[in-house]
Amino acid sequence: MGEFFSALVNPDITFLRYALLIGLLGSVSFGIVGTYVVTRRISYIAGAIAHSALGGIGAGLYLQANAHIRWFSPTLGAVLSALAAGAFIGFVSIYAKQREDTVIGTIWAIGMASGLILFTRTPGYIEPMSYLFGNILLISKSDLLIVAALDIVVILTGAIFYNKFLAVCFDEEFVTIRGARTVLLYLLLICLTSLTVVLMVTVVGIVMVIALLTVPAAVSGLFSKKLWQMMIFSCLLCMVFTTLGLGMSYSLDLPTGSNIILLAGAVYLLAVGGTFILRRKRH
Amino acid sequence: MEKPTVVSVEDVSFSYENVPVLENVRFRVYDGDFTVMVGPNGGGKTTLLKLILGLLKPSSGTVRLLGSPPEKTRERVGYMPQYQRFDLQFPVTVTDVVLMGRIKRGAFGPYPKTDREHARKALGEVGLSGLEKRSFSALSGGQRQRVLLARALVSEPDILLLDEPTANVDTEAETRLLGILETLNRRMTVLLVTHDLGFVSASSGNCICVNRRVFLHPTAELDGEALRKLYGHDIRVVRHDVIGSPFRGQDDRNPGIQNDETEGRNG
Repeated sequence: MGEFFSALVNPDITFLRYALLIGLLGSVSFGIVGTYVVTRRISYIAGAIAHSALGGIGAGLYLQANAHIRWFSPTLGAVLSALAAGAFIGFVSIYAKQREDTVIGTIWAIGMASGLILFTRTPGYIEPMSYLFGNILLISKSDLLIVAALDIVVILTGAIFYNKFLAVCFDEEFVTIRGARTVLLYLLLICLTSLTVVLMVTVVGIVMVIALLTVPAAVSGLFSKKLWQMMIFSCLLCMVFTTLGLGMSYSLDLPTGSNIILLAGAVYLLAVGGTFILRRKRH
Repeated sequence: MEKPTVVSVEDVSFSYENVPVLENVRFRVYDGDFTVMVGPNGGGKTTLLKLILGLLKPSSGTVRLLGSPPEKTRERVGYMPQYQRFDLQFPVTVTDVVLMGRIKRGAFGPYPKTDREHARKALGEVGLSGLEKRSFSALSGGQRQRVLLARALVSEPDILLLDEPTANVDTEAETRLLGILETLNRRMTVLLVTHDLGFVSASSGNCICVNRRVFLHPTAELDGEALRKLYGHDIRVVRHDVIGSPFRGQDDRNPGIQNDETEGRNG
Protein backbone atom coordinates (compact mmCIF):
# COMPACT_ATOMS: atom_id res chain seq x y z
CA MET A 1 0.00 0.00 0.00
CA GLY A 2 2.89 2.39 0.76
CA GLU A 3 3.97 2.02 -2.83
CA PHE A 4 0.45 3.09 -3.88
CA PHE A 5 0.59 6.28 -1.82
CA SER A 6 4.02 7.28 -3.08
CA ALA A 7 2.78 6.70 -6.65
CA LEU A 8 -0.28 8.85 -5.90
CA VAL A 9 1.83 11.87 -4.96
CA ASN A 10 4.34 11.35 -7.79
CA PRO A 11 3.75 14.32 -10.16
CA ASP A 12 4.68 12.16 -13.17
CA ILE A 13 1.95 9.57 -12.63
CA THR A 14 -1.27 11.47 -13.32
CA PHE A 15 -3.38 8.42 -14.28
CA LEU A 16 -3.49 7.14 -10.71
CA ARG A 17 -4.64 10.48 -9.31
CA TYR A 18 -7.27 10.76 -12.03
CA ALA A 19 -8.48 7.23 -11.29
CA LEU A 20 -8.76 8.07 -7.60
CA LEU A 21 -10.57 11.34 -8.35
CA ILE A 22 -13.03 9.75 -10.73
CA GLY A 23 -13.82 7.13 -8.11
CA LEU A 24 -14.44 9.79 -5.46
CA LEU A 25 -16.47 12.03 -7.79
CA GLY A 26 -18.48 9.18 -9.24
CA SER A 27 -19.31 7.92 -5.75
CA VAL A 28 -21.49 10.98 -5.14
CA SER A 29 -23.82 10.20 -8.07
CA PHE A 30 -23.65 6.45 -7.47
CA GLY A 31 -24.63 6.89 -3.82
CA ILE A 32 -27.60 9.18 -4.43
CA VAL A 33 -29.02 7.57 -7.58
CA GLY A 34 -28.17 4.09 -6.31
CA THR A 35 -30.27 4.70 -3.19
CA TYR A 36 -33.31 5.47 -5.34
CA VAL A 37 -32.56 2.54 -7.66
CA VAL A 38 -32.37 0.10 -4.76
CA THR A 39 -35.39 1.37 -2.79
CA ARG A 40 -37.57 1.69 -5.89
CA ARG A 41 -36.27 -1.74 -6.98
CA ILE A 42 -35.26 -0.78 -10.49
CA SER A 43 -31.73 -2.24 -10.55
CA TYR A 44 -32.81 -4.44 -13.44
CA ILE A 45 -33.89 -1.35 -15.36
CA ALA A 46 -30.51 0.22 -14.62
CA GLY A 47 -28.86 -2.98 -15.93
CA ALA A 48 -30.83 -2.89 -19.18
CA ILE A 49 -30.03 0.81 -19.66
CA ALA A 50 -26.33 0.14 -19.10
CA HIS A 51 -26.29 -2.62 -21.70
CA SER A 52 -28.34 -0.63 -24.18
CA ALA A 53 -25.56 1.96 -23.97
CA LEU A 54 -23.26 -0.56 -25.66
CA GLY A 55 -25.45 -0.36 -28.76
CA GLY A 56 -25.14 3.42 -28.73
CA ILE A 57 -21.39 3.28 -28.28
CA GLY A 58 -21.18 0.86 -31.23
CA ALA A 59 -23.35 3.18 -33.33
CA GLY A 60 -21.10 6.12 -32.49
CA LEU A 61 -17.89 4.28 -33.41
CA TYR A 62 -19.46 2.89 -36.60
CA LEU A 63 -20.82 6.24 -37.81
CA GLN A 64 -17.58 8.07 -37.04
CA ALA A 65 -15.46 5.54 -38.94
CA ASN A 66 -17.74 4.52 -41.80
CA ALA A 67 -20.03 7.49 -42.42
CA HIS A 68 -17.50 10.11 -41.28
CA ILE A 69 -20.02 11.80 -38.98
CA ARG A 70 -17.42 13.25 -36.66
CA TRP A 71 -19.79 14.81 -34.14
CA PHE A 72 -21.60 11.54 -33.45
CA SER A 73 -19.26 10.39 -30.70
CA PRO A 74 -19.65 7.07 -28.86
CA THR A 75 -20.62 9.05 -25.74
CA LEU A 76 -23.43 10.82 -27.61
CA GLY A 77 -24.62 7.49 -28.99
CA ALA A 78 -24.56 5.99 -25.52
CA VAL A 79 -26.53 8.91 -24.03
CA LEU A 80 -29.17 8.74 -26.77
CA SER A 81 -29.63 4.97 -26.60
CA ALA A 82 -29.72 4.98 -22.79
CA LEU A 83 -32.30 7.76 -22.59
CA ALA A 84 -34.42 6.04 -25.26
CA ALA A 85 -34.18 2.69 -23.47
CA GLY A 86 -34.99 4.35 -20.14
CA ALA A 87 -38.04 6.19 -21.49
CA PHE A 88 -39.29 3.06 -23.25
CA ILE A 89 -38.96 0.85 -20.17
CA GLY A 90 -40.50 3.63 -18.06
CA PHE A 91 -43.60 3.78 -20.26
CA VAL A 92 -43.93 0.01 -20.36
CA SER A 93 -43.69 -0.23 -16.57
CA ILE A 94 -46.38 2.44 -16.20
CA TYR A 95 -48.83 1.28 -18.86
CA ALA A 96 -48.16 -2.44 -19.31
CA LYS A 97 -46.62 -3.54 -16.01
CA GLN A 98 -47.16 -7.24 -16.73
CA ARG A 99 -44.71 -7.07 -19.66
CA GLU A 100 -42.05 -5.09 -17.84
CA ASP A 101 -39.51 -7.82 -17.15
CA THR A 102 -39.75 -9.25 -20.66
CA VAL A 103 -39.14 -5.81 -22.18
CA ILE A 104 -36.19 -5.23 -19.82
CA GLY A 105 -34.62 -8.55 -20.81
CA THR A 106 -35.13 -7.92 -24.51
CA ILE A 107 -33.62 -4.42 -24.44
CA TRP A 108 -30.70 -5.75 -22.42
CA ALA A 109 -29.94 -8.40 -25.08
CA ILE A 110 -30.58 -6.17 -28.11
CA GLY A 111 -28.28 -3.49 -26.69
CA MET A 112 -25.35 -5.87 -26.28
CA ALA A 113 -25.87 -7.71 -29.57
CA SER A 114 -26.19 -4.57 -31.68
CA GLY A 115 -23.14 -3.09 -29.97
CA LEU A 116 -21.00 -6.14 -30.76
CA ILE A 117 -22.18 -6.30 -34.39
CA LEU A 118 -21.40 -2.60 -34.90
CA PHE A 119 -17.95 -3.16 -33.33
CA THR A 120 -17.13 -5.86 -35.91
CA ARG A 121 -18.32 -3.65 -38.78
CA THR A 122 -16.08 -0.78 -37.66
CA PRO A 123 -12.56 -0.75 -39.12
CA GLY A 124 -9.78 -1.45 -36.62
CA TYR A 125 -9.99 -3.66 -33.59
CA ILE A 126 -12.28 -2.60 -30.76
CA GLU A 127 -11.94 -4.41 -27.50
CA PRO A 128 -15.45 -5.11 -26.16
CA MET A 129 -13.96 -5.96 -22.75
CA SER A 130 -12.92 -2.34 -22.31
CA TYR A 131 -16.55 -1.27 -22.53
CA LEU A 132 -17.78 -4.03 -20.28
CA PHE A 133 -15.23 -3.52 -17.54
CA GLY A 134 -14.00 -0.07 -18.53
CA ASN A 135 -10.57 1.21 -17.84
CA ILE A 136 -10.40 3.47 -14.89
CA LEU A 137 -6.70 4.01 -15.55
CA LEU A 138 -7.39 5.80 -18.84
CA ILE A 139 -9.33 8.74 -17.39
CA SER A 140 -8.87 12.14 -18.98
CA LYS A 141 -9.43 15.60 -17.51
CA SER A 142 -12.64 15.99 -19.53
CA ASP A 143 -13.98 12.76 -17.98
CA LEU A 144 -13.46 14.34 -14.57
CA LEU A 145 -15.36 17.44 -15.63
CA ILE A 146 -18.26 15.38 -17.03
CA VAL A 147 -18.61 13.40 -13.81
CA ALA A 148 -18.37 16.59 -11.70
CA ALA A 149 -21.17 18.12 -13.81
CA LEU A 150 -23.22 14.94 -13.37
CA ASP A 151 -22.75 15.22 -9.60
CA ILE A 152 -24.13 18.75 -9.62
CA VAL A 153 -27.21 17.68 -11.64
CA VAL A 154 -27.83 14.67 -9.39
CA ILE A 155 -27.40 16.63 -6.13
CA LEU A 156 -29.70 19.45 -7.28
CA THR A 157 -32.42 17.14 -8.63
CA GLY A 158 -32.13 14.90 -5.60
CA ALA A 159 -32.52 17.87 -3.21
CA ILE A 160 -35.43 19.52 -5.04
CA PHE A 161 -37.40 16.31 -5.48
CA TYR A 162 -36.26 14.53 -2.31
CA ASN A 163 -39.67 14.36 -0.63
CA LYS A 164 -41.51 13.37 -3.76
CA PHE A 165 -38.97 10.76 -4.85
CA LEU A 166 -39.03 9.32 -1.33
CA ALA A 167 -42.83 9.10 -1.40
CA VAL A 168 -42.92 7.67 -4.92
CA CYS A 169 -40.39 4.99 -3.99
CA PHE A 170 -42.35 4.14 -0.83
CA ASP A 171 -45.94 4.25 -2.09
CA GLU A 172 -46.55 5.52 -5.60
CA GLU A 173 -50.33 5.00 -5.51
CA PHE A 174 -50.71 7.23 -2.49
CA VAL A 175 -48.73 10.03 -4.12
CA THR A 176 -50.99 9.80 -7.18
CA ILE A 177 -54.02 10.29 -4.94
CA ARG A 178 -52.34 13.30 -3.34
CA GLY A 179 -52.41 14.90 -6.80
CA ALA A 180 -48.67 14.84 -7.59
CA ARG A 181 -47.65 13.84 -11.12
CA THR A 182 -46.26 10.43 -10.35
CA VAL A 183 -45.79 9.43 -13.99
CA LEU A 184 -43.54 12.43 -14.58
CA LEU A 185 -41.71 11.84 -11.29
CA TYR A 186 -41.07 8.21 -12.18
CA LEU A 187 -39.84 9.12 -15.65
CA LEU A 188 -37.61 11.81 -14.16
CA LEU A 189 -36.15 9.22 -11.81
CA ILE A 190 -35.51 6.86 -14.73
CA CYS A 191 -33.90 9.69 -16.74
CA LEU A 192 -31.63 10.57 -13.82
CA THR A 193 -30.70 6.89 -13.56
CA SER A 194 -30.08 6.66 -17.33
CA LEU A 195 -27.88 9.75 -17.29
CA THR A 196 -25.79 8.47 -14.37
CA VAL A 197 -25.51 5.00 -15.83
CA VAL A 198 -24.50 6.10 -19.29
CA LEU A 199 -21.97 8.76 -18.32
CA MET A 200 -20.33 6.37 -15.89
CA VAL A 201 -20.45 3.49 -18.42
CA THR A 202 -18.27 5.43 -20.83
CA VAL A 203 -15.84 6.07 -17.97
CA VAL A 204 -15.72 2.90 -15.86
CA GLY A 205 -17.60 0.26 -17.88
CA ILE A 206 -20.95 -1.50 -17.67
CA VAL A 207 -20.28 -4.05 -14.96
CA MET A 208 -18.71 -1.57 -12.55
CA VAL A 209 -21.66 0.80 -13.00
CA ILE A 210 -24.12 -1.91 -12.01
CA ALA A 211 -21.97 -2.93 -9.05
CA LEU A 212 -21.39 0.57 -7.72
CA LEU A 213 -24.99 1.65 -8.27
CA THR A 214 -26.50 -1.20 -6.30
CA VAL A 215 -23.98 -2.63 -3.82
CA PRO A 216 -23.16 0.45 -1.68
CA ALA A 217 -26.86 1.35 -1.47
CA ALA A 218 -27.87 -2.22 -0.65
CA VAL A 219 -25.30 -2.43 2.16
CA SER A 220 -26.25 1.01 3.54
CA GLY A 221 -29.93 0.07 3.41
CA LEU A 222 -29.23 -2.63 6.00
CA PHE A 223 -28.52 -0.08 8.74
CA SER A 224 -29.96 3.28 7.59
CA LYS A 225 -32.98 4.78 9.31
CA LYS A 226 -33.67 7.52 6.82
CA LEU A 227 -33.32 7.77 3.06
CA TRP A 228 -30.82 10.66 3.16
CA GLN A 229 -28.67 8.72 5.63
CA MET A 230 -28.71 5.82 3.19
CA MET A 231 -27.51 8.21 0.46
CA ILE A 232 -24.62 9.54 2.56
CA PHE A 233 -23.54 6.07 3.71
CA SER A 234 -23.74 4.82 0.11
CA CYS A 235 -21.53 7.66 -1.14
CA LEU A 236 -18.96 7.02 1.58
CA LEU A 237 -19.01 3.27 1.05
CA CYS A 238 -18.63 3.72 -2.69
CA MET A 239 -15.61 5.98 -2.08
CA VAL A 240 -14.08 3.30 0.15
CA PHE A 241 -14.65 0.60 -2.48
CA THR A 242 -13.13 2.56 -5.34
CA THR A 243 -10.15 3.86 -3.34
CA LEU A 244 -9.35 0.58 -1.62
CA GLY A 245 -9.96 -1.37 -4.84
CA LEU A 246 -7.62 0.92 -6.76
CA GLY A 247 -4.92 0.62 -4.10
CA MET A 248 -5.22 -3.16 -3.98
CA SER A 249 -5.13 -3.53 -7.74
CA TYR A 250 -2.03 -1.33 -7.91
CA SER A 251 -0.21 -3.26 -5.19
CA LEU A 252 -1.31 -6.72 -6.34
CA ASP A 253 -1.19 -5.93 -10.08
CA LEU A 254 -4.82 -6.92 -10.73
CA PRO A 255 -7.32 -5.38 -13.20
CA THR A 256 -8.72 -2.34 -11.36
CA GLY A 257 -12.37 -2.51 -12.40
CA SER A 258 -12.80 -6.20 -11.58
CA ASN A 259 -10.95 -5.72 -8.32
CA ILE A 260 -13.28 -2.93 -7.19
CA ILE A 261 -16.32 -5.01 -8.19
CA LEU A 262 -15.11 -8.09 -6.30
CA LEU A 263 -14.36 -6.00 -3.22
CA ALA A 264 -17.87 -4.48 -3.30
CA GLY A 265 -19.47 -7.86 -3.94
CA ALA A 266 -17.61 -9.51 -1.06
CA VAL A 267 -18.61 -6.75 1.37
CA TYR A 268 -22.24 -7.09 0.23
CA LEU A 269 -22.35 -10.84 0.76
CA LEU A 270 -20.68 -10.50 4.18
CA ALA A 271 -23.08 -7.74 5.24
CA VAL A 272 -26.19 -9.63 4.11
CA GLY A 273 -24.96 -12.88 5.66
CA GLY A 274 -24.00 -11.09 8.89
CA THR A 275 -27.40 -9.40 9.20
CA PHE A 276 -29.16 -12.68 8.53
CA ILE A 277 -27.23 -14.48 11.27
CA LEU A 278 -27.70 -11.58 13.73
CA ARG A 279 -31.48 -11.58 13.14
CA ARG A 280 -31.72 -15.33 13.63
CA LYS A 281 -29.79 -15.13 16.89
CA ARG A 282 -32.09 -12.43 18.19
CA HIS A 283 -35.22 -14.52 17.58
CA MET B 1 -83.46 17.01 4.63
CA GLU B 2 -81.17 14.98 2.40
CA LYS B 3 -77.45 14.89 3.12
CA PRO B 4 -75.02 15.64 0.29
CA THR B 5 -73.75 12.63 -1.66
CA VAL B 6 -69.99 12.15 -1.31
CA VAL B 7 -69.57 8.99 -3.36
CA SER B 8 -71.87 7.94 -6.15
CA VAL B 9 -71.35 4.77 -8.15
CA GLU B 10 -73.83 4.43 -11.03
CA ASP B 11 -74.18 1.20 -13.01
CA VAL B 12 -70.45 0.55 -12.86
CA SER B 13 -68.94 -2.56 -14.41
CA PHE B 14 -65.27 -3.43 -14.43
CA SER B 15 -63.26 -6.28 -15.85
CA TYR B 16 -59.57 -7.20 -15.86
CA GLU B 17 -58.79 -8.48 -19.36
CA ASN B 18 -62.31 -9.80 -19.98
CA VAL B 19 -62.71 -11.31 -16.53
CA PRO B 20 -65.64 -9.45 -14.97
CA VAL B 21 -64.86 -8.25 -11.47
CA LEU B 22 -67.80 -5.95 -10.89
CA GLU B 23 -71.17 -5.91 -12.66
CA ASN B 24 -73.72 -3.12 -12.66
CA VAL B 25 -72.75 -1.83 -9.28
CA ARG B 26 -74.69 1.12 -7.93
CA PHE B 27 -74.69 2.71 -4.52
CA ARG B 28 -74.22 6.05 -2.82
CA VAL B 29 -72.44 7.16 0.28
CA TYR B 30 -73.71 10.25 2.04
CA ASP B 31 -71.91 12.88 4.03
CA GLY B 32 -71.16 11.71 7.56
CA ASP B 33 -71.88 8.03 6.86
CA PHE B 34 -69.86 5.22 8.36
CA THR B 35 -69.93 2.62 5.61
CA VAL B 36 -68.33 -0.81 5.62
CA MET B 37 -67.75 -2.71 2.39
CA VAL B 38 -67.60 -6.40 3.05
CA GLY B 39 -67.27 -9.46 0.88
CA PRO B 40 -65.13 -12.52 0.15
CA ASN B 41 -61.54 -12.23 -1.05
CA GLY B 42 -61.46 -11.63 -4.79
CA GLY B 43 -65.02 -10.27 -4.66
CA GLY B 44 -63.94 -6.87 -5.99
CA LYS B 45 -63.76 -4.75 -2.83
CA THR B 46 -60.32 -3.31 -3.45
CA THR B 47 -61.19 -2.82 -7.13
CA LEU B 48 -64.22 -0.82 -6.07
CA LEU B 49 -62.04 1.31 -3.80
CA LYS B 50 -59.62 1.96 -6.65
CA LEU B 51 -62.50 2.93 -8.94
CA ILE B 52 -63.73 5.41 -6.32
CA LEU B 53 -60.21 6.88 -6.17
CA GLY B 54 -59.94 7.05 -9.97
CA LEU B 55 -56.90 4.75 -9.98
CA LEU B 56 -58.91 2.46 -12.27
CA LYS B 57 -61.44 3.49 -14.90
CA PRO B 58 -64.78 1.66 -15.07
CA SER B 59 -65.50 -0.35 -18.22
CA SER B 60 -68.96 1.23 -18.12
CA GLY B 61 -70.92 3.44 -15.79
CA THR B 62 -69.82 6.50 -13.83
CA VAL B 63 -68.11 7.13 -10.53
CA ARG B 64 -68.41 10.51 -8.84
CA LEU B 65 -66.42 11.59 -5.83
CA LEU B 66 -67.73 14.74 -4.13
CA GLY B 67 -69.73 15.41 -7.28
CA SER B 68 -66.79 15.31 -9.74
CA PRO B 69 -64.67 12.75 -11.55
CA PRO B 70 -62.42 11.21 -8.87
CA GLU B 71 -59.14 12.49 -10.37
CA LYS B 72 -60.28 16.03 -9.65
CA THR B 73 -61.40 15.58 -6.07
CA ARG B 74 -59.37 12.70 -4.68
CA GLU B 75 -56.98 15.08 -2.93
CA ARG B 76 -59.79 15.57 -0.41
CA VAL B 77 -59.72 11.86 0.42
CA GLY B 78 -57.56 10.38 3.14
CA TYR B 79 -56.53 6.95 1.87
CA MET B 80 -55.13 4.19 4.01
CA PRO B 81 -53.86 1.18 2.04
CA GLN B 82 -53.04 -2.25 3.43
CA TYR B 83 -49.72 -2.10 5.24
CA GLN B 84 -48.59 -5.57 4.16
CA ARG B 85 -47.62 -4.30 0.75
CA PHE B 86 -44.84 -2.10 2.11
CA ASP B 87 -41.16 -2.92 1.88
CA LEU B 88 -40.13 -3.31 5.50
CA GLN B 89 -36.49 -2.58 4.73
CA PHE B 90 -37.38 0.86 3.42
CA PRO B 91 -35.46 3.46 5.45
CA VAL B 92 -38.20 5.83 6.64
CA THR B 93 -39.22 7.17 10.03
CA VAL B 94 -42.78 7.51 11.29
CA THR B 95 -42.72 11.27 10.61
CA ASP B 96 -41.40 10.68 7.06
CA VAL B 97 -44.38 8.46 6.32
CA VAL B 98 -46.98 10.79 7.83
CA LEU B 99 -45.55 13.80 5.97
CA MET B 100 -46.27 12.06 2.65
CA GLY B 101 -49.89 12.99 3.32
CA ARG B 102 -48.89 16.65 2.89
CA ILE B 103 -47.52 16.21 -0.61
CA LYS B 104 -49.10 18.48 -3.19
CA ARG B 105 -48.61 19.08 -6.87
CA GLY B 106 -46.14 21.88 -7.54
CA ALA B 107 -44.58 22.00 -4.06
CA PHE B 108 -40.83 21.33 -4.06
CA GLY B 109 -38.01 21.29 -1.55
CA PRO B 110 -38.36 20.53 2.16
CA TYR B 111 -41.73 20.37 3.94
CA PRO B 112 -42.75 23.68 5.57
CA LYS B 113 -42.98 23.90 9.35
CA THR B 114 -46.78 23.84 9.32
CA ASP B 115 -46.69 20.42 7.65
CA ARG B 116 -44.57 19.08 10.49
CA GLU B 117 -47.01 20.49 13.03
CA HIS B 118 -49.90 18.81 11.25
CA ALA B 119 -47.97 15.54 11.24
CA ARG B 120 -47.39 15.80 14.98
CA LYS B 121 -51.08 16.50 15.55
CA ALA B 122 -52.20 13.59 13.37
CA LEU B 123 -49.88 11.22 15.25
CA GLY B 124 -51.37 12.43 18.51
CA GLU B 125 -54.83 11.76 17.19
CA VAL B 126 -54.03 8.11 16.50
CA GLY B 127 -52.27 7.75 19.85
CA LEU B 128 -48.69 7.54 18.58
CA SER B 129 -47.20 10.69 20.11
CA GLY B 130 -43.59 10.13 21.06
CA LEU B 131 -42.89 7.66 18.24
CA GLU B 132 -42.19 10.40 15.66
CA LYS B 133 -38.53 9.50 15.19
CA ARG B 134 -38.97 5.73 15.25
CA SER B 135 -38.20 3.67 12.21
CA PHE B 136 -41.42 2.60 10.43
CA SER B 137 -40.12 -0.96 10.16
CA ALA B 138 -39.51 -1.19 13.94
CA LEU B 139 -43.23 -0.82 14.73
CA SER B 140 -45.82 -3.53 15.35
CA GLY B 141 -48.48 -4.24 12.73
CA GLY B 142 -51.12 -2.33 14.65
CA GLN B 143 -48.84 0.68 15.09
CA ARG B 144 -47.98 0.70 11.39
CA GLN B 145 -51.68 0.72 10.58
CA ARG B 146 -52.12 3.76 12.81
CA VAL B 147 -49.14 5.53 11.17
CA LEU B 148 -50.84 5.01 7.82
CA LEU B 149 -54.08 6.31 9.32
CA ALA B 150 -52.22 9.42 10.53
CA ARG B 151 -50.83 9.83 7.00
CA ALA B 152 -54.39 9.70 5.67
CA LEU B 153 -55.54 12.24 8.28
CA VAL B 154 -52.74 14.75 7.96
CA SER B 155 -54.24 16.32 4.82
CA GLU B 156 -57.45 17.07 6.76
CA PRO B 157 -59.64 15.09 4.39
CA ASP B 158 -63.44 15.13 4.02
CA ILE B 159 -63.60 11.38 3.46
CA LEU B 160 -61.53 8.58 4.92
CA LEU B 161 -61.08 5.52 2.72
CA LEU B 162 -59.51 2.46 4.33
CA ASP B 163 -58.49 -0.84 2.74
CA GLU B 164 -58.55 -3.75 5.21
CA PRO B 165 -57.53 -1.63 8.20
CA THR B 166 -57.67 -4.61 10.55
CA ALA B 167 -55.93 -7.24 8.43
CA ASN B 168 -53.26 -9.09 10.42
CA VAL B 169 -53.58 -7.10 13.63
CA ASP B 170 -54.64 -8.50 16.98
CA THR B 171 -58.04 -7.95 18.58
CA GLU B 172 -56.80 -5.24 20.88
CA ALA B 173 -55.34 -3.22 18.01
CA GLU B 174 -58.57 -3.76 16.08
CA THR B 175 -60.76 -2.46 18.91
CA ARG B 176 -58.49 0.51 19.34
CA LEU B 177 -58.59 1.33 15.63
CA LEU B 178 -62.36 1.07 15.57
CA GLY B 179 -62.55 3.50 18.50
CA ILE B 180 -60.37 6.02 16.63
CA LEU B 181 -62.48 5.66 13.48
CA GLU B 182 -65.70 6.21 15.41
CA THR B 183 -64.28 9.43 16.84
CA LEU B 184 -63.14 10.55 13.40
CA ASN B 185 -66.58 9.79 11.96
CA ARG B 186 -67.94 12.73 13.96
CA ARG B 187 -66.20 15.07 11.56
CA MET B 188 -65.73 13.06 8.35
CA THR B 189 -67.28 10.36 6.20
CA VAL B 190 -65.68 6.95 6.70
CA LEU B 191 -65.71 4.22 4.06
CA LEU B 192 -63.76 1.06 4.71
CA VAL B 193 -63.20 -2.32 3.13
CA THR B 194 -62.91 -5.47 5.20
CA HIS B 195 -63.41 -9.19 4.97
CA ASP B 196 -63.78 -9.28 8.72
CA LEU B 197 -67.45 -9.80 9.56
CA GLY B 198 -66.80 -9.27 13.26
CA PHE B 199 -65.71 -5.78 12.45
CA VAL B 200 -68.92 -5.19 10.49
CA SER B 201 -71.19 -6.09 13.35
CA ALA B 202 -69.10 -4.17 15.86
CA SER B 203 -69.11 -0.98 13.86
CA SER B 204 -72.87 -0.76 13.27
CA GLY B 205 -72.63 1.54 10.25
CA ASN B 206 -74.07 0.89 6.81
CA CYS B 207 -72.95 -2.17 4.99
CA ILE B 208 -72.21 -2.64 1.32
CA CYS B 209 -71.77 -6.27 0.40
CA VAL B 210 -69.52 -6.80 -2.60
CA ASN B 211 -69.19 -10.02 -4.51
CA ARG B 212 -69.08 -8.97 -8.13
CA ARG B 213 -72.48 -7.41 -7.51
CA VAL B 214 -73.46 -5.14 -4.69
CA PHE B 215 -76.13 -5.58 -2.05
CA LEU B 216 -76.94 -2.92 0.48
CA HIS B 217 -77.95 -3.33 4.07
CA PRO B 218 -78.12 -1.42 7.27
CA THR B 219 -75.85 -3.58 9.41
CA ALA B 220 -78.74 -4.70 11.59
CA GLU B 221 -80.31 -6.45 8.61
CA LEU B 222 -77.18 -8.36 7.72
CA ASP B 223 -78.64 -11.76 8.50
CA GLY B 224 -77.91 -15.30 7.44
CA GLU B 225 -79.92 -14.93 4.25
CA ALA B 226 -77.97 -11.89 3.09
CA LEU B 227 -74.63 -13.52 3.91
CA ARG B 228 -75.59 -16.68 2.05
CA LYS B 229 -76.34 -14.54 -0.96
CA LEU B 230 -73.02 -12.76 -0.61
CA TYR B 231 -70.70 -15.67 0.04
CA GLY B 232 -72.70 -18.28 -1.88
CA HIS B 233 -72.82 -20.67 1.08
CA ASP B 234 -73.83 -20.72 4.72
CA ILE B 235 -71.58 -19.02 7.19
CA ARG B 236 -71.84 -18.88 10.91
CA VAL B 237 -72.74 -15.46 12.20
CA VAL B 238 -71.72 -14.42 15.66
CA ARG B 239 -73.88 -11.63 16.86
CA HIS B 240 -72.22 -8.88 18.89
CA ASP B 241 -74.58 -6.49 20.50
CA VAL B 242 -72.89 -3.17 20.76
CA ILE B 243 -73.68 -1.44 23.99
CA GLY B 244 -73.48 2.32 24.11
CA SER B 245 -72.59 2.74 20.45
CA PRO B 246 -71.15 6.19 19.84
CA PHE B 247 -73.08 6.42 16.59
CA ARG B 248 -75.97 8.70 16.04
CA GLY B 249 -79.35 7.12 15.33
CA GLN B 250 -79.30 4.90 12.28
CA ASP B 251 -82.78 5.46 10.92
CA ASP B 252 -82.49 9.03 9.78
CA ARG B 253 -78.92 8.69 8.53
CA ASN B 254 -79.27 6.38 5.62
CA PRO B 255 -81.72 7.64 3.07
CA GLY B 256 -79.58 6.03 0.38
CA ILE B 257 -79.77 2.54 1.74
CA GLN B 258 -82.28 0.46 -0.12
CA ASN B 259 -82.71 -3.21 0.27
CA ASP B 260 -82.28 -6.10 -2.06
CA GLU B 261 -85.69 -5.95 -3.65
CA THR B 262 -85.04 -2.63 -5.32
CA GLU B 263 -81.29 -2.76 -5.69
CA GLY B 264 -80.31 -6.33 -6.26
CA ARG B 265 -81.84 -6.55 -9.67
CA ASN B 266 -79.03 -8.75 -10.84
CA GLY B 267 -79.21 -10.99 -7.83
